Amino acid sequence: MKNLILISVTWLLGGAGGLYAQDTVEADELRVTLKSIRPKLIPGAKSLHPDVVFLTRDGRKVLDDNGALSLEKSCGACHDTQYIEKHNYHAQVGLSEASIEAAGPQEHAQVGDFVMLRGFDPLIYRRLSRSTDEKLDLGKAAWIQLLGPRHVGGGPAFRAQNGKMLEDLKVGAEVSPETHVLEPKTKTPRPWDYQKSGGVELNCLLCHMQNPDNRERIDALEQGRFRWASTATLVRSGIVARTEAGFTWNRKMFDARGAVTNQVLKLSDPPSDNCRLCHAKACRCSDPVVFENSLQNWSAETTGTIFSPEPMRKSGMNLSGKPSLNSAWDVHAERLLGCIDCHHAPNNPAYNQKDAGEDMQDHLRFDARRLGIEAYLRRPDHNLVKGFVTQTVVARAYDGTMRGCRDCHRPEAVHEFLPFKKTHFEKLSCQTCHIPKIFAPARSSTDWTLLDADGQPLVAHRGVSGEINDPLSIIDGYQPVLLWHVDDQDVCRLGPHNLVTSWFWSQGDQESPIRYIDLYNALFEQDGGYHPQVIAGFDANSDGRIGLDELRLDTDEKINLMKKRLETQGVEQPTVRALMHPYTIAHGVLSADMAVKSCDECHRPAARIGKMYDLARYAPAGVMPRLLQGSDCEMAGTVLTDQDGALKYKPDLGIEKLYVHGAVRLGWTDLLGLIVLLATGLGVLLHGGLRGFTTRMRKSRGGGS
Amino acid sequence: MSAKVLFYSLYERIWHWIQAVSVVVLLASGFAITFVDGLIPLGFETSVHLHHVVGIVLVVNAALALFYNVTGGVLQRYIPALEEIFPLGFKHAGYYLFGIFKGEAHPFDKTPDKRLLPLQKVTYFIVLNLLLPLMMVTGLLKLGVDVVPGWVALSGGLKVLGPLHRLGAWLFAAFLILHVYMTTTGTTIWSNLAAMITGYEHSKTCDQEDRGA
Repeated sequence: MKNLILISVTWLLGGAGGLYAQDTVEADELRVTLKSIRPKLIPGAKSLHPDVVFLTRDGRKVLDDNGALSLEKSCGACHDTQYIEKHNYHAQVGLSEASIEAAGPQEHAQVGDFVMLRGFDPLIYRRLSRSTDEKLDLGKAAWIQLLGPRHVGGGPAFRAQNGKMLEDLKVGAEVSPETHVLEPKTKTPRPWDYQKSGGVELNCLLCHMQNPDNRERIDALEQGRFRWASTATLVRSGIVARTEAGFTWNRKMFDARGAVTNQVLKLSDPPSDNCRLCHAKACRCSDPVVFENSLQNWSAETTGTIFSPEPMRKSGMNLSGKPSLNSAWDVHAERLLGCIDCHHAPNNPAYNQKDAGEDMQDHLRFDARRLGIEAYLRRPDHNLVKGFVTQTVVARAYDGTMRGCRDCHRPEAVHEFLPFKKTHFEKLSCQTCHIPKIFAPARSSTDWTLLDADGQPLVAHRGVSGEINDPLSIIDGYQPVLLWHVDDQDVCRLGPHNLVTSWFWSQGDQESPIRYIDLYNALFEQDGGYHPQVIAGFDANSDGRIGLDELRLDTDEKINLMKKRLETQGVEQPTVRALMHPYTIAHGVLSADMAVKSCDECHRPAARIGKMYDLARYAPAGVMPRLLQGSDCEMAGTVLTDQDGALKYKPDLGIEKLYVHGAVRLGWTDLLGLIVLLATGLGVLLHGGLRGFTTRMRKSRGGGS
Repeated sequence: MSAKVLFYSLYERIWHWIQAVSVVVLLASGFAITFVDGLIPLGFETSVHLHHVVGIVLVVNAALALFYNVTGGVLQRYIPALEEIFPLGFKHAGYYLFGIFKGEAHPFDKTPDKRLLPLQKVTYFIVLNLLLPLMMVTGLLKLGVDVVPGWVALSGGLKVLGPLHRLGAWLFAAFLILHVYMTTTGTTIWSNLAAMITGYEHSKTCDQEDRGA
């Protein structure tokens, strides 16, 4: 009977379970998800982008008189190109920040304060001269030639500070950075002929065309053919050819309307490779990752980060311990994220979903209202969303508009191994543990107090044993320094940075560096060789040459010699200054298995958090650097020199901001405690010893214990 | 003559030894956490987990003891009267400073109800009412930094709790040395230790009371 009941119950339960399971399966099959209704991409399908009629600035077809392509006019047939140019910090590089809140033309005079950049960039050194500068250094046209290769056009490359097009500027008697450039040989300003060169329009093709011809574009800029920069970008596509006279359009590529099909142009959302043209030159293809450290590879040069999906072990670089480096250079790239997936247009309807509490009423969980696709395509806001990084010099108002780590990931849901999750997340940026090491070299210092024989500054890198960019040098990478930084949640967290220290000459009390040409002429003669006085002062081995190891500003004699040389160039009271530029490291995120998980990484005195950090091999002229002001970074530590004169940064493990068990030393507390403990121990020993002694004495006298 | 009397009940002995082991483990693991490369090579992670578990054991044990002493009506044992500080405390101190070296008899005799001598009472009063609560409160707040961040912030944060907890640990270590040494000052070197194991100790007073004196 008992068995019968048991069998019946089992059958009932089993049957019910089976029915339930069947219902669940059916429910799953019926469930409609965003993923299930997403249209599948059809390979080889025709692009939706219409054919483009190529027009010149005056609205005629380029084929009519072989004119220069105007993308403002051509793309402007459908897109509001003027809006796009204005709402585009890649184009404006600060010009709009001055103009948006401009009270009048005088505000535009401050443009140089924002353009990349009047503030001293140790990697570039030169900056656009201000109209108030005593001497002209870099006029607008020279600025375009120098920095235009990393500028998308438009903004200050197309318009003057007063809003007029460069082409329409009239050269006055007064020397102005807008209209004049410096003649290097004579050191005298000369007017620039914008009528001939034109201005540089915003180059839509550079970002939106697959495989644009950046080399030709740069050549056009460097040759001063600004008007033709957009046209030059098309050379590789065969739509236009470069000739001795200039450029000639290939009529075969146009239809009867003077239009080019998108099958030829291949316009699309910006591919990441296009971003790499200016930001990082590492390959994102199936080839092994190969890179160089140079100003053309900006990301690697400043931070050593490589945004590539390739495993590091497959790299073509001479990486230390390469076979064991299984992680991709960047795990987000490995997961197929492209640049614009994170750095999208702020009004892109696919992305600008508001979350609760984010400019949305509290009772709403989701705001269904979206900008229509037509309205978006007409006026896509090109002020791409961005995070909080210290090196940002433009569009600070857009800092933090990008979704940060915590907006996509839920760290609390994982990290099972980590005790005190909240505290760790509150004090540390995600990158601190997920970018524990940078596997490529990065710039560590730039010494502009002296120049090498090529007129270049003395540059040092960290993370490489041997000469930089030498295939035989072993790349061992480096551990980023941890600095306090306001991050994407407006919280001050400890995060990874690369500190780039720089030294330069300034005049008197001025904070900015002296003109490059004055520095160059102080060191070199007209024929390009070092000045005899310089050779006499720096040629330590008397071989008549100045080797790189002899270029050290480390004695009073050398410092005084340089001061005298600079004074001959009109520099008054030459003074050496030093700065540390922090570069926030946000890319180069490693796979989870390479992230920091061991407590010992931080919870010990000599660990990462309190480790001495190399800054430079010495401090030129003995000048100690200070952290760049206004960088949103805080350095809780001291800069010092070791016994060999090398410059170091020593983090201060004070307990004010961070109490790290195992790493902090509490001087007075521990000393007081130790004294109490030792005094107790000593007292016990004395008392016990005396007790034993007196007991024996009494015993020897025949007394009891 | 003296009689062997039950001084410490089984629960009291269990409580004492759990507390003793806990304190030793906490001091050792705390030392290993603070001085990672120091003499106790437990490793940071192991030390932290050990410290947390044993810390909770100590707190629970202390709470149970408080309950036991309150409900048993024996809390008075641990509260020194003024006369136990002066003059009895001074008399007691005089014995340890001078009399013990001359072989003098102990000036006080213990009974199960008056098991703590004057100086012991004062010391335990400080340890049990100040030092132990300080360590428990600061330790629990540090442990609960993720759970009750508001309380931690109210207490001044880890920058206050950390040094207080650490100073308390040094004092506890000093107390431990003194406590262990004082166990050797009984009738014999091992008599006090044996009493805390077996529960029994000799008492003259009890013998006299038993004899109707």
